[in-house]
Amino acid sequence: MNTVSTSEPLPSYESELRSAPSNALVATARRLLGDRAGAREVTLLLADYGVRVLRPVDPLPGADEPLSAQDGPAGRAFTEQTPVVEPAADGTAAVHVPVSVRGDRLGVLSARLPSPGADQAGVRGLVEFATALGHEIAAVERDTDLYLLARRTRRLTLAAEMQWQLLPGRGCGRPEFEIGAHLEPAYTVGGDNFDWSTDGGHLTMTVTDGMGRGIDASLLTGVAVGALRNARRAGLGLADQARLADQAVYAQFGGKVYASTLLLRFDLATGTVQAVDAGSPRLYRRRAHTVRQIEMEAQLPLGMFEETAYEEQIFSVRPGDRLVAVSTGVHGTRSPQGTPFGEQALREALDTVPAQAPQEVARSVVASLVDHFGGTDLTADAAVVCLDWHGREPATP
Amino acid sequence: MRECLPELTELAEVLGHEVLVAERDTDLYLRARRKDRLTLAAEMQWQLLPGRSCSRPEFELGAQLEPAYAIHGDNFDWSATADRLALYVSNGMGEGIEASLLTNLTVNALRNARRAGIPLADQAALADQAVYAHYRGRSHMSVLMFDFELNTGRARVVDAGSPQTLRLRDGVYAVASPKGEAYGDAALARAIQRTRLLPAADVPRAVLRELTGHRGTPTPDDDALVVCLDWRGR
Repeated sequence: MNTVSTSEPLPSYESELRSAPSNALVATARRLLGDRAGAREVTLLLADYGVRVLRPVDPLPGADEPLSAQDGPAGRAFTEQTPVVEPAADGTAAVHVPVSVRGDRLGVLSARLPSPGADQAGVRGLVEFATALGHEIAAVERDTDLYLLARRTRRLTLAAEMQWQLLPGRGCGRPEFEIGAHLEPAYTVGGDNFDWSTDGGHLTMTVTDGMGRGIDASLLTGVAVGALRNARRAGLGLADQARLADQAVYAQFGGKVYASTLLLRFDLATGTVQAVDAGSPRLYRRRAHTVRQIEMEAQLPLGMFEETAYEEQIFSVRPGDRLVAVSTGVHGTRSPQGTPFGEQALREALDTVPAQAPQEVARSVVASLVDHFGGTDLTADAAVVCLDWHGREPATP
Repeated sequence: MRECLPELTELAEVLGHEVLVAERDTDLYLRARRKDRLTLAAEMQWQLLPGRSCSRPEFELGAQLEPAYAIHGDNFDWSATADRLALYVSNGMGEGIEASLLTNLTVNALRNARRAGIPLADQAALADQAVYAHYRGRSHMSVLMFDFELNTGRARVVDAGSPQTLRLRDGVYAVASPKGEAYGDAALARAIQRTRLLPAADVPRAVLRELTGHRGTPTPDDDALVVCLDWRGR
């Protein structure tokens, strides 16, 4: 006898997103949100390389204009990383929620939720959906240029193309810390790089400033960062990572060019930091209301001489500390009148944004640098990495 | 036990996707995949690669490089949009870091041009200019480039150099660069014929295994690269 078949439970939206073709994530999101939540006008906006605008992926007709990444409802959802709801007279609401992947801000998902449905539960649902969508975008980017193209307001130079594919992302968050980073000029960057990797016990973070310009700088940084990673992944300590990268760069370029790198390794449980300062990127710490530079013994840049030995130094961070590492392009850049951006300006930039998240801090330090420089594209690369230290709750015995 | 399988399968899929995402921030999973240390050249090469396989309704791709822990300059790359699949197979030149820098430059130049929406032949022209501008003809790179239309199966091809393409009746396309191994067309065709029942993702490793048997020594002197594309169409 045939029993009345109960309808199969719907597959979860995560599983629908996972099985969608790499190019069809936005179309799938529109279908799922439309069918299951009655949402309309579903738009995925991704932040451009310079984090100035949010650009739509697979835009709806008539909605293909980029939006500000700082202002307006979508821009606010992005910078403040919180849902922004615009209720309409008919009871529906335009809702903008951040799309992020493990602390890396990708963009914003906007949708018009129906009445009823545009309530707290509806917004929460959209927030969860946006996170699942963000993770899928990160997963499919290996196989398609689509999402990467949406992030470009113009073409990247070849040097910048090489640099961006080396970068881990623009941010990373974990219970113990939050990192945000920014790089300018985003579309023509040559030799600046930041990198990080965490395991259960430690965070390793580097800021590298490859000498020279264009493709030469980018190839140099490629070797330096590749060698640092290669050593790190072989389980070597920080000083040995620097030593091996120094050898690799020297072997390739014979001392003609070199990479200045700051290497840091944080113990996630204690906040103890090992550091190697191989060149010029500088490190500042904001603790309570005081900003000061963490002075380190300046050691030789990677690849300047053969067989340089490096030494680790130790300092420590406390919960609530904010560290900011800046490349030479930041602390050395001069205004058209010849005044360097300098420490004072950097302190001011750090002081004006105490409440903001690390990615915003990094972006606004670079923005004030660009202002200082006269509002045009920088002539030297500038990389800023901001790290907020939360630490761990001491284990209760 | 059996009723747990669908749930386990789903869990494994979720885990797979999350590992991919988490790899941006940690070496953990990548280190678990290494039984030895990679050479620096191989380290740089692997981070350029898109993955080892890719599957969509219209096609399935598989690729493998040997010696995996010490590759020099060979590379494969792909990118799909709603209507097209771009596929590149490159044969590097030189050794060690020098080879990986050349590949880094070439592959990024091709990607940069592709991402600017430029057609295949012009992508080749731009990459050619970028490589020539840097190396002045001292080093060069052979690349076989495809641009498939997913709707029709029509492919535009630019053959800038040497990788060979074999096309079999059962729809397996394969490219191999055994270079100087005297691993002839016939042996390669036999290897591909023998692997015709395998899914695309398994073919490259199987062909490379045959190559190892043919050579008699476990470590090749040169890079060997196999990419397999199964076309299903629409």
